[in-house]
Amino acid sequence: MNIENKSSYPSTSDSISCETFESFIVDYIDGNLEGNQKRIFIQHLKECPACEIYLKNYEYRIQLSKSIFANDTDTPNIPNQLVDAILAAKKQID
Amino acid sequence: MDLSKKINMPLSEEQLIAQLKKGNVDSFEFIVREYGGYLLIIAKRYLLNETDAEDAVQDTYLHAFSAIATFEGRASLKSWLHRIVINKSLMKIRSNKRRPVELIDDNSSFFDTNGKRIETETEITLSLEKLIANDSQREHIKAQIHQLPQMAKNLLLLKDIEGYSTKEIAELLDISLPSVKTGLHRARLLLKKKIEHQLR
Repeated sequence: MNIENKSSYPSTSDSISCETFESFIVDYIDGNLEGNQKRIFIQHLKECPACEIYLKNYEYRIQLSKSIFANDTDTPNIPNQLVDAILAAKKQID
Repeated sequence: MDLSKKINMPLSEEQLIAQLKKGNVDSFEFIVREYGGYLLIIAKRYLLNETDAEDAVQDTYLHAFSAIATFEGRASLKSWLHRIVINKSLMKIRSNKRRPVELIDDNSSFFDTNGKRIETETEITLSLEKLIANDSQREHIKAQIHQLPQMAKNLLLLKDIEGYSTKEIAELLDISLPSVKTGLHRARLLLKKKIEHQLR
């Protein structure tokens, strides 16, 4: 699949293939599908259980990535030598 | 360090920014100590080498000190520094790169000649909360993200962790918008391949 080379979005047909559906997932998740494009995407979602599960799992993994890093900045600690280096570098510039 | 004690006044963010703009030396040290550890963690997401990450944080502060006069306060100081450290980290990656940026392999799903999905999945039923609460599982998945090819990792971090828009990412990485979308999709599928067994 190559999103870059996809032909234009479907305009009048109510039916898209799973492959076309997949090529629009990034835009769908970003909220960038509108009007007829969004309607046809959702129509496929309703009619295709395989793509419905595929999208659910895809969204699950995005949420997982986000959650994995969610608390890693809770205990920040900067080494004293880095503080000194930054302040010394600032003095040099001043 | 409590700057409010050192300069003997309670400090709001606005007051802190005012002190920075005046060139108050204590205020500079304050923001280094206050946000430096946080920025170091962000830099390490992109730069696995400790020295590179520290350099990126130092570059961030030197940039911030020189640009503080133009800081308008539309975002918080922390958010402003966060954006700068990402920029500096990406710059560091670019300056370290001797080879052209690697392409991300196509890990797309398979379809038949009519574009119908051949591989069907079962729904992941594992609780996200439980998975995240398990230290070894969490660290393993984090390690898998860190081991992705650099471009795939950057795209995932910028989009799925930092929440930048695809347009912003295109500007940050200096690549086209379609390349961001294609690369992001492939990066997500590459990660899927690496962690799928943990989700079943």
